Amino acid sequence: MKHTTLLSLVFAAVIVPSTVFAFSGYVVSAPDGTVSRGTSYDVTHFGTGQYEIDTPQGDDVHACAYSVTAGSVNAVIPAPAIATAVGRRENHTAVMVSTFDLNGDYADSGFHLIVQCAGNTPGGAAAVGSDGTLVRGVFATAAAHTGTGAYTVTFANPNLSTSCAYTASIGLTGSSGVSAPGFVNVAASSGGTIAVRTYDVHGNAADLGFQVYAACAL
Amino acid sequence: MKWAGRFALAVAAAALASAANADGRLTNTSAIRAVTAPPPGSPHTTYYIVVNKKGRRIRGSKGTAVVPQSAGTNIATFPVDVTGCEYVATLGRATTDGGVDETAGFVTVVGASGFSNGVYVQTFGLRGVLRNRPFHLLVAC
Repeated sequence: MKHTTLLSLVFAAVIVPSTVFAFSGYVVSAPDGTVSRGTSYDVTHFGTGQYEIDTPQGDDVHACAYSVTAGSVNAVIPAPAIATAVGRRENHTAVMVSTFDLNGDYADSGFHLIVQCAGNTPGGAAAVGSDGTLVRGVFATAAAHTGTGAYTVTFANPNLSTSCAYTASIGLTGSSGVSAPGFVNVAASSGGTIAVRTYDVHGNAADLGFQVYAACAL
Repeated sequence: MKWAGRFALAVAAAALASAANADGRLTNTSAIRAVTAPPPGSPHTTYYIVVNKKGRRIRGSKGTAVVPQSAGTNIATFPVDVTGCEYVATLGRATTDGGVDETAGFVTVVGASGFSNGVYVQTFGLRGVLRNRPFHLLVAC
C-alpha cells in the first residue's frame, strides 16, 4: 500500500503541471467602462451592467478571488448598487463584473475590483463600527460617522483615495452576532480619505458596520 | 492526519459557534473579543477563499477551509487567528469555469464566535432572506 501511494504521488507530480497564479491587481472603472486607475486592466462595457475585465499581459486569474464593490471613480456618491464578479468561462485571463440597481436589475455603475491571487496587495484595510468607530485596521488611521449611513475612513497613504481601489462589505467588527444585510458603496473623498455609504435592503440610508480593503499599486 | 484533525476541530468549533434563534435563523454567539490593531506601517498578509453555493471550498490560500452551517451561512477558516483582521466578501460564482453572472444579493461578515480563526459569512437574496450563494472572501491581517 505504501509503495502504491508513493507511486501515485510520483505519478501525480509528473502529470499535473505546476501552475503559478501569482498576479494580483485592481481596477477602478466608471459606469461606461472607462478605466480611472488600476494595474493596466482593460475594461469592456458590453451590455447594461455588464463588464469584462482583461488582465494586461494575459495573466491567468481564474484561480484567484475577486472582490468588487459598486462605487464611483471620484468623490461623487453613487446611488445604491450591487456588484458581483465571476471568472470568464472561455478566457481565464478575464473577470466578468455585473452591476445591479435596487431592484436587482442590471444597471450601469462604477465599480472597484480587486483580483487577489498569491501574495499580498499593499494598501490598507479597516473594520468600522456602525457609529463610525475605527475598531482596527491595516494602515488605517481614522474613521468618522458623518451622517446616517455616511462614513469616511482615512489611511496612512495620502494618495489612497485617488490612486487605489477599495472594496467593502457590511459586517460587524467583533466576533459575535450577525449584521442586517444591506448595500455598501464606496467613493473617493480626498487625500487618504475615502467615503463609504451604507443602506438597508430597501436602499434607505442606514447605519451599518462595515469592513473595507484597499489595493494600491506596488 | 493533521488536516483531518484540523477539520474536526473546525467542525467542533463551528458547532459551538452557532445556535439557532426561535425563528430558526442561526446566530453567532459569544462575547466580543478584544482585538489589537497592528501599528501603522506594519506588514500585512492577505488570505482568500472562494466558496460555492453548496458551502464547498473551491480554491483559496493554503490552510483555508469552510464549514457550512445552514441556509446562507458558512464559517470560513484560516491558518491564523483572524480576530484582529479585516474581512471583505463579494458574491460571485466560484467555479473556475464560471461565466454566468451572479445575480444581485447581499453578503455580510463578522468574526466567528468562539472560533478565533474563523469568519462567519452570511449571504442573502435581494429581499434580505438568507440564501445559499457563492462568495469570494478576502482577509487582511
